Amino acid sequence: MKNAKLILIALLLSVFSVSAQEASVSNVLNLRTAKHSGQIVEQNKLVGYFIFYTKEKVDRNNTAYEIQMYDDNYNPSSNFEIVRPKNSILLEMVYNGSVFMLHFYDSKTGYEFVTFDKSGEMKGSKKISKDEISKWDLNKVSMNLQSETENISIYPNGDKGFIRSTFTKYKKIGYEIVAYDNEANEVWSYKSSETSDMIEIVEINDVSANYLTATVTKKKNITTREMSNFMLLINLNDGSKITEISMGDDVSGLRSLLKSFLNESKKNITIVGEYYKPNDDIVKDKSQGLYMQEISLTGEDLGITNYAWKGDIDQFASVTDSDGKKERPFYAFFHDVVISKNGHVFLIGEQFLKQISAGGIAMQVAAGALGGQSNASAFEMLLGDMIVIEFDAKKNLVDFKKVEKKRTNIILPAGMGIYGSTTLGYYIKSMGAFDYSFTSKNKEKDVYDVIYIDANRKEDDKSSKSDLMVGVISIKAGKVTQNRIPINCESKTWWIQPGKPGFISVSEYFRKEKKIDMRLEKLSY
Amino acid sequence: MTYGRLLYFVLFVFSFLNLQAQNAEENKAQVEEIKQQLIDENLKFTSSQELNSTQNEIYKKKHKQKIDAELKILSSDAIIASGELYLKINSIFDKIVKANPEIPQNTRLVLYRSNDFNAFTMGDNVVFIHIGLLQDLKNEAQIALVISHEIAHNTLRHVEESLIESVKRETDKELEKEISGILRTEYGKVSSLNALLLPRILESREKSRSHEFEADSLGLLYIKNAQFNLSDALSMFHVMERKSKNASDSLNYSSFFHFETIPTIQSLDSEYERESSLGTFTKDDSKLPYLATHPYERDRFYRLATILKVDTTFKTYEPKQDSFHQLLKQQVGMEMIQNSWRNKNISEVIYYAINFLEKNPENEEAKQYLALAFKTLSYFKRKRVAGKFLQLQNPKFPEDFDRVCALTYAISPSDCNALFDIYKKQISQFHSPQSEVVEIIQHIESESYDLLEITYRDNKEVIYNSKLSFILEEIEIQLNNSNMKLNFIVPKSKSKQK
Repeated sequence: MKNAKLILIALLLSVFSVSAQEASVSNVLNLRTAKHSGQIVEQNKLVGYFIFYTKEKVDRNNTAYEIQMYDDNYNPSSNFEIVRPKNSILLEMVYNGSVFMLHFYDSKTGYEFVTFDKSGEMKGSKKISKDEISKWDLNKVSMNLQSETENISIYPNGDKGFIRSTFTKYKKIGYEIVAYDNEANEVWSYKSSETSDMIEIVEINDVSANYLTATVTKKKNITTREMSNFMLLINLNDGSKITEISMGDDVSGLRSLLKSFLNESKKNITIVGEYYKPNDDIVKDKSQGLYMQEISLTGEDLGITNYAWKGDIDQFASVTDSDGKKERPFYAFFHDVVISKNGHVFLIGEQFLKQISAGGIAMQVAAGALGGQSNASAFEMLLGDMIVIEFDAKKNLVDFKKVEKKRTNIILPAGMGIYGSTTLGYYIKSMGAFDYSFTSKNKEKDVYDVIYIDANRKEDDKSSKSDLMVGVISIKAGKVTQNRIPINCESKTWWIQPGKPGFISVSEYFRKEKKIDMRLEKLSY
Repeated sequence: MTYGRLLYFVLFVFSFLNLQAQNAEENKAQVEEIKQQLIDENLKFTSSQELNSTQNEIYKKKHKQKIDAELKILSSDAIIASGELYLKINSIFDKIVKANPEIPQNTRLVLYRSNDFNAFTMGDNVVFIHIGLLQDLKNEAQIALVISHEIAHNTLRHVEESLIESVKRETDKELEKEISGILRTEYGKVSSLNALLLPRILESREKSRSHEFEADSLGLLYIKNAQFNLSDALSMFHVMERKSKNASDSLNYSSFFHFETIPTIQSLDSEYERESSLGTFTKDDSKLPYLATHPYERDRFYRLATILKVDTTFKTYEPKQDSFHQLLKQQVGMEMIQNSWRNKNISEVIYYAINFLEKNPENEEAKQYLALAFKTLSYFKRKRVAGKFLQLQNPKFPEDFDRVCALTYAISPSDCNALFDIYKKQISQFHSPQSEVVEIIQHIESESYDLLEITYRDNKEVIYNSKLSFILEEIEIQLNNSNMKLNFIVPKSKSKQK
């Protein structure tokens, strides 16, 4: 996420107090970004924060850590002590409404999953030694640690356990979905086929009371761009596969799988994505439009509807930009999908386009003149507006909104210019370079806030630039509104992060006083 | 307004301001007297026979630090030592002191501007009573018991005893050796330190609890001698227990937020969730009694009731409000609101203003504060800085207070303005500096920068010297960020540097 990094609170000496309006952490000797603080998430909703810090060295090999938890109003909640091998890193902490699962990583020993109940009592633990872990999983963890990205591999399974996705140790990359109970015991495991001649990667989309949907991507090898997508439906009670549905092929045309949603009351699954011409490449070519497909819980196809960019969607979209010029042929990268209680589906996307970079070329020329090389490509990505595409409960396309924000340019590294826009979209997504930050979700209250950063930091023409301009697209009970909120801070060191639903957390570090002040501000009124 | 009424109003305002100035002078004089007495009583330091010469040097240093801290508190604007409210409480205090010759007759009482339910002494014949305590106690005898309890700490020299104990701990060579040994080890430092120090901490807490029992017993004797109603006094433990359990007062806040007129506010209130986002955590409470500095209320009650040989059934002693409490209510209630402004806590301002207006519905001053709070919030919320001045929810708060906190966070800037408009209509005129702050915000809202300049220049010093200073300081930060070339806006922090 741009400008939304999670911050480590340093050392034993930190004291967190909530005596008044702001939460304050004192004795902060330095700041480090690392996996030692984070959010506690329950059913996609932020419910609190944790800080994981060193208490003392127990012996040569082990260190005692404290995990202090705070609720979504920064109130100290509970704390656990846990003894771990030294150099343990807390990768992930997930709450299922009953217990917490903590995922630890030690570069020497491997993984350990530990569950704690609300009273701080340890319920169970599961170790996976380093040689049992796929190198692909370790690579992913390592990359996430380096880029300070959240490691998301564990999902609550109601309040009875957790689901985790990982890689297998097959010769070819494969995936595994594992279910754990609240005592961290493995209940079942579902793996891709060991004899598959394809690389198979899974991304969990939705977990309901009895079912799990996931996107499975299959490729011949890592470097090939050709891939096929499948929607996988698993019975959560026993881990059995109900169905795996192909998302098209070269003959009929491929379909990407953006998101799938389970609707247990209607006994169906809704899949949303983009569709392509026959023989087109998902990573290389531009899609023809969006599609929505319904599948029964037994795997039957209940129907598919296509919405072409030309002919269906463009009647809602403006053909000119805000300056009245003809709109440029932007691509759309879809960050998230929201489905409101009234059955309406909202695709949240961001416009992007590959173009020649004057700055990149200038850097190359300048570097060349000095006898060196520039790391900049001659191409850049232009990020345009946010877009929201709305479908009603009957799958009719009802609206296409463009939420204007200042266009920004991302100069691509040398060599990236050969790739097409679609590929580059995935690339800049992986780098966290889009303006989209996160979506704050409250399914229960049917409120979703999509947060992005607007490079236009002026509130209006008369104002000067604020420190940060946060754009908010709110979807409340199926109604879309937009808002821009300026955030100004006293301190020179500040950051934002997700707050409880409907709020953003603003933190400021005062170096002289060695303290961090955190407060919550409402996103929209 | 007729000429006669105008004249009357001007005279009233003039006398009011004059009285305020006189009160301030008198308060200052009283505080100076107390401070001087404190200094005079401590000119000569008396060593302790329990300590050796080295230890006495440390004791002397700690004693001086304590006196300095006490003088600093007395020098702050948090002290009330004159005025109507003070005189009422002091009358109870005087009665106790005069009825008990063993109490040094120059012992002094001050009120402390804090909304916490607390009272304290630092061992030097000065007793500090928090305003928050007076808000919750229901009768004269309860107040008397608290005052006596603090006086008893002084009579029994508990503070000195604690100081001497701390000197002994600090100079305990054996302990120092053990601590150094632990710090030199690489492993298990914290656990070893805990194991070494925990028995001492528990011992010190046990001592603290026994001090409290002793102060309770002696305090009871003092109020008995002063002929206060002992049953009423014992009912104080009901109040304390309610406070410790965060019992709600069931404030009727909905009418003050005008749910009927502004239905959006009512719908926000219906979204209130009492439970913490992480649910209820059951903690191991078994160690808590041993770590408490004060015994539990029922234990204290039981001991005193046993000493008095009266009915030891707790529920028999339900607190009753007396006429004394009625006299105090208004002044204490207003002080609570003022303290909340000093704390820069707008949620508290609103809560205590509503609390006050429930019992005094026609009080204009409280309405002014409520109106000002909403107007300020409307501006701060638009600027996304309201979070600095609003209280976050906490399941440990009494429910009515927690609901007010949740609602003040949730309501929109336009709802805040709507509430301001409602309360403004009920007020004849804003007093200074509330009026100037409201004007400044209104000029900003209407973009009347010429008028803003005049109001700002003419009144900023007055506002800086009031408890509303933080509002102006935040406005300055926000306006400084603007590109409107408002050169007349010089933030207080920058003008100080110059």
